[in-house]
Amino acid sequence: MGRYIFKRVVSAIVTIWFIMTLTFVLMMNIPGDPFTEDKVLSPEIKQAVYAKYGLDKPVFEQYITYMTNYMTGDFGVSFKKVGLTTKEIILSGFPYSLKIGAWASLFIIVGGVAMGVAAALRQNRLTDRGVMILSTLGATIPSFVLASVFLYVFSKQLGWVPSFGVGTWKHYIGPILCISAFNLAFLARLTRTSVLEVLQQDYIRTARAKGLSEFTVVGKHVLRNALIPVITYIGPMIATILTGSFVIEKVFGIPGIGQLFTSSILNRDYTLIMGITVFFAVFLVVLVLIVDIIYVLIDPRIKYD
Amino acid sequence: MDHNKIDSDMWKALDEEEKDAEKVARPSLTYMQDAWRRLRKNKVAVASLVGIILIILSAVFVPFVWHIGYSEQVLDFSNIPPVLDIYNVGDDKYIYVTKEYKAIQVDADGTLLKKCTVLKEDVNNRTCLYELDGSQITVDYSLYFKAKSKYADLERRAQNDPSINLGEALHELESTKKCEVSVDGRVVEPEKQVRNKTYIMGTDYLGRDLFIRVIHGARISLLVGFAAALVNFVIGVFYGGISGYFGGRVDNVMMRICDTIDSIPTTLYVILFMVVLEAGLGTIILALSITYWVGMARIVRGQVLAMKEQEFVLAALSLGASLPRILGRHLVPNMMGPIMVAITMQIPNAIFTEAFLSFVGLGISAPMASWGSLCNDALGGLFTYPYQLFFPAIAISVTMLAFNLLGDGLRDALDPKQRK
Repeated sequence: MGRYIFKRVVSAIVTIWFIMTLTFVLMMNIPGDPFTEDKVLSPEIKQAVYAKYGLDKPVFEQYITYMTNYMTGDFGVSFKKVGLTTKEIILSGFPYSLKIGAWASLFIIVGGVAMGVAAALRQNRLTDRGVMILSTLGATIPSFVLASVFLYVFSKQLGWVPSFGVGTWKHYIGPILCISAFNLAFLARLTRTSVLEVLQQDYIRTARAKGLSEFTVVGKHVLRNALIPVITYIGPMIATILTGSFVIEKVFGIPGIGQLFTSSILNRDYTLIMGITVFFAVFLVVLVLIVDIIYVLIDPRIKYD
Repeated sequence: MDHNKIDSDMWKALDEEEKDAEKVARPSLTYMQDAWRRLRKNKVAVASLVGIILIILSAVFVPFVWHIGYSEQVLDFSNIPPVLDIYNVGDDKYIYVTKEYKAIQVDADGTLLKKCTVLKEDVNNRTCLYELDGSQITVDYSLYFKAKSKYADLERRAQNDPSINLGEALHELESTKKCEVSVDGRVVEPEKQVRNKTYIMGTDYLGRDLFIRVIHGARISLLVGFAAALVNFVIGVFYGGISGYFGGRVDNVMMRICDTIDSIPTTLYVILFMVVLEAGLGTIILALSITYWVGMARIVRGQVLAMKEQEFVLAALSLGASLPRILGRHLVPNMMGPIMVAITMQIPNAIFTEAFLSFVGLGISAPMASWGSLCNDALGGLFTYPYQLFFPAIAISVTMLAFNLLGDGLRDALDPKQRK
């Protein structure tokens, strides 16, 4: 087991290295440089600017500096937001995104599992049909459509929630709901399939034959086994929430990290793009790593190699 | 002995019908025919298939016959909704007043004619004066403007005073009449609602026909979807085929590469590719293909691993067939089932990613339209012109739904073992 965890950690580190290198290579290949849009600089000033940002050094040297800087948590300064470091900008937006992401995760797991279990226990009946229809819709309607419709119906027509910004808890209802929809739908399906499979196992028949109440059978024997695959879904779930944040934060005007990312792309703020990409990717890889480790701790049936 | 005696009626001739009992009554079906038969029984899948074919046909042919081009702008007719409240100004002449208080002459069944001549735009008194064939039309929006500034005031105070009910005030504001129209001093009310005959889905902020733009968006989205699926298929078959066929160390290394690509957040890198490469349709397809082939490669590899030890491969090998031939002629046709299911699932994924990119502002560039960019354009005026979001949103949702349902149906039809 220790060996398995060690292997997973090593592969996570390799992935992070790969991600950072890929990001570096991509950013090196952007046509022009960050200063081409400004008015034409005289050669001396240009040289001075290049020297300031270390752009005059050979590529390999830049790569080494980039890697060591990032290792020590120095993400460089923003090209466009003068006077701010990338790290400061990321840290200013992250709390909003984290808040939405964490609440959405909770909502997805509780809601998705509840819907899935309800559908499985009432297979082919009204509850099941309803959950399946909802989950088909949730999986096919893009989040930006959902968010825009939510805004129009609940802010404009009904006036129940504010439309823009992060002032009160009401501001978070829309973003959390809309960012959850896809995953909620997916998880409900996953849980349903998994519960249906467990219900056919011999040990469930045994439990029923022992005369246990339906509540004990479902709560103790079905759920504990059916929920194991749900844990594997947490990794992809975090990834979807993360990309979902790009559009959701844009629609709802939340100054989170997803909004920062999209605006940095439109502004061509290269250091910020680079910083946020690496930040996002590392965040994701580390979370998935943690989930994987928890998974083997929970399910003793998993082979470690 | 009794049982040695044979009953005479056992020697009777059999019925003609019984002779046929061993015959195969139905013609034998190939795998694909059988799958098609199963798919046809699935009503939802058939409806989805018909829907997809309709969308494809209209995306291909409608632009040739429609009377307006997708990039044609008529600035006079900007932001016109698909349903018009028209005022009768006498002599069977009708006008429509836009949300920007522009008066436009329409005929009784909703064809837009022309913008009325502006005589005076009095910003101080919040009125506009138009002239139409000798009669003077006044559009007075001062009442609504007053209500609006009252609401803005209330909104400011509500920040400190939580007892103020903003929702109710907003509702009150909504029910205030937007403007008052009078013809030669006589106030007129909207006479009837008609469908917009010139632009059946209305126009956008530049006066472009929304209908043809949604159709054009279908072209772009479907093109991206199919092209990305095709490229993924080709890369996936090569990569997965080689990996599965050679096995061993080659397979190990190739699959570790897949694992690494899998563990990076692909959407993030599609976005990065879009930043690095020049914007355009080709770039979107390329960016999608670079990152999304892994799933297909895995499926192909799994199938090749399962099939490569079978006799028909050995037979082909002993006849001296080369690897491309074995892969292309013998293995791929035998795994079309799972591949087709994967492709049907990948197309909506690609369509979604393209819409996502366009929505973020990284997709195709103006004046081209895709469903994502149309939604993005509509977002700014969402509260005033909701129809601009409605049509592209419906188009993308219906298409995604159809592909997904068809994919489910195909999986059931092509792979009955997997059925749950």
